[in-house]
Amino acid sequence: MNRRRFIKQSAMGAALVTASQFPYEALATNTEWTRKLCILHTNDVHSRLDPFPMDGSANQGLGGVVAREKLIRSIREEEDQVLLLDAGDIFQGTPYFNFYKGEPEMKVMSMLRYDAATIGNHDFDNGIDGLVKQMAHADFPFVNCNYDFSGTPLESLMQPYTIMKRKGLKIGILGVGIALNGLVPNHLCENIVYHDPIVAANEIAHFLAVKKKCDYVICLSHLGFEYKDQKVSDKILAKESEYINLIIGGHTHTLLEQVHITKNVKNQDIFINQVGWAGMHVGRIDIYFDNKNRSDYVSKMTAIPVKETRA
Amino acid sequence: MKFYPHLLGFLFLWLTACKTAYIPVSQHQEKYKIESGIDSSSAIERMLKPYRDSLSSRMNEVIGTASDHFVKQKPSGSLGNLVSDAMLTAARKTDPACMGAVCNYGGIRIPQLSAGPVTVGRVFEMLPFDNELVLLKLPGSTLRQWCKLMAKAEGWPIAGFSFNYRDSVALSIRFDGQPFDIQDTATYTIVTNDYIANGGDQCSFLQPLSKIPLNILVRDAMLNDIRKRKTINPDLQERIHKIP
Repeated sequence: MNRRRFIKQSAMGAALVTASQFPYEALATNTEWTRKLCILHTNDVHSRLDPFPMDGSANQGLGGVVAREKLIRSIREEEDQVLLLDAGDIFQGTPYFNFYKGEPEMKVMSMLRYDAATIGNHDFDNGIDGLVKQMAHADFPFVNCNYDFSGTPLESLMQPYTIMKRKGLKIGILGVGIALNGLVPNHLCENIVYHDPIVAANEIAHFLAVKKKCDYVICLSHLGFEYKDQKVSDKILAKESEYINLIIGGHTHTLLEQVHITKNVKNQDIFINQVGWAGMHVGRIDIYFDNKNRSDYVSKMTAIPVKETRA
Repeated sequence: MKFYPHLLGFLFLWLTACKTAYIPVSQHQEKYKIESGIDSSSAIERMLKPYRDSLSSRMNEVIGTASDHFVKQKPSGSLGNLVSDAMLTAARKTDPACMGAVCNYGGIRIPQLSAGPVTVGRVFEMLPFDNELVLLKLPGSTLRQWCKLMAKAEGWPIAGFSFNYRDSVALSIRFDGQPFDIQDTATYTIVTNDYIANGGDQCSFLQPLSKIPLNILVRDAMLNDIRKRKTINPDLQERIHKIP
């Protein structure tokens, strides 16, 4: 989509909002930009390939990969630089997983052209071997930097990060996972060693931003949005991180009203988003870039009230 | 001054190889709610259909009727009561002395079971994990510790016993409705799932205990229970009660 057309559409969109609403969209694009990235994301889809059954329950008719595909296709027709990401717990929750062990889930994600995913605790529900077997059906990378997979069959299949190049933009994507002890039975994740996700994520993010000169660093996290106690969460990771721009979270099934904006250790803006579970929602964050030196960085970002759109 | 054409060439290459840096200058967010029917023409639908069709014949079987809605909630709810009751019923077939059942809150994966026909598929969604029933013989001190954990978690599905709690402390434990004085050194038999028995969901204190596997999935115990009862009625008893 070119800039002119976008502004025109934004203006039309702004005209539709009620008088009481501030036209944030116009504000967001009222800045010079030369590159745009459209990030789409899901988390905790939990084998929900079909919509929830029409049985009168609260979620009836919601979700389903056919509708998700339709939405993503229409966005890709509008946007040329789309990243589609998942924050883990792809598996478990419908009979599809009980009987087909994750095969259709991985096939669907490949057909939807996911660019990267991280793994959640439930992705180990059929053990390491069960995950490895289904990864053969995935044609996108799996990222995690705080599990040590050495000596396990996942060693060669997982990577700490991946780099996507999009029309001159360089996007670094890393992944972090939750402590497996007490969450995943030992025999299902044997020999995977958990390391502090904050230390690991900062190390990789520094590498991506400084050494690899990535323009934007995204962390796919299955840590969970927040906890009552001091357990490490996306909120804590965000505060203690340095080179991460955006955390796409999962695990706690949190449906954030809006992207959570907080400050990192350098007092710069960092964003966290999570969109519930079961594929009932798809999150979208558009980032507008301009070619400037990193030293000119000002955390000038505008959060927009969320529009709910039905696919 | 000497002219170094090769040096200039190198400089030119180095400059052009240097990537343009971009920084984010603004952002925009949206959220899409996914809702629609099945589009039979989509490639994904064609890929999925054979999987779904072979599941359907099994999953669409109606095994009973729910007379009303069952709800998953804390500290107690009718859906948790339904599951834990089925666990206790199954365990008592092997060991009639089994005193109670404990299921972790996260073990039940649907927020509610609607009134009307109950299908095999719905029970799979309710209890998707392939966890098996396990009998635990635990000392009173461990049972107390477990109740404390359940109080801290603000309630888990239980059957056969009940208790009140205040500020994460379990009080006045009752078995079969009767006040019960748990002796620290006495042994009590409780049925749970192997995920918790092996230390899952903060239950590492259960790990060292000896376990008697019942070789039946929690889900199969639930399916059997509904098949046998035909009609299931919500039990609204608040088995774990919070004292403000």
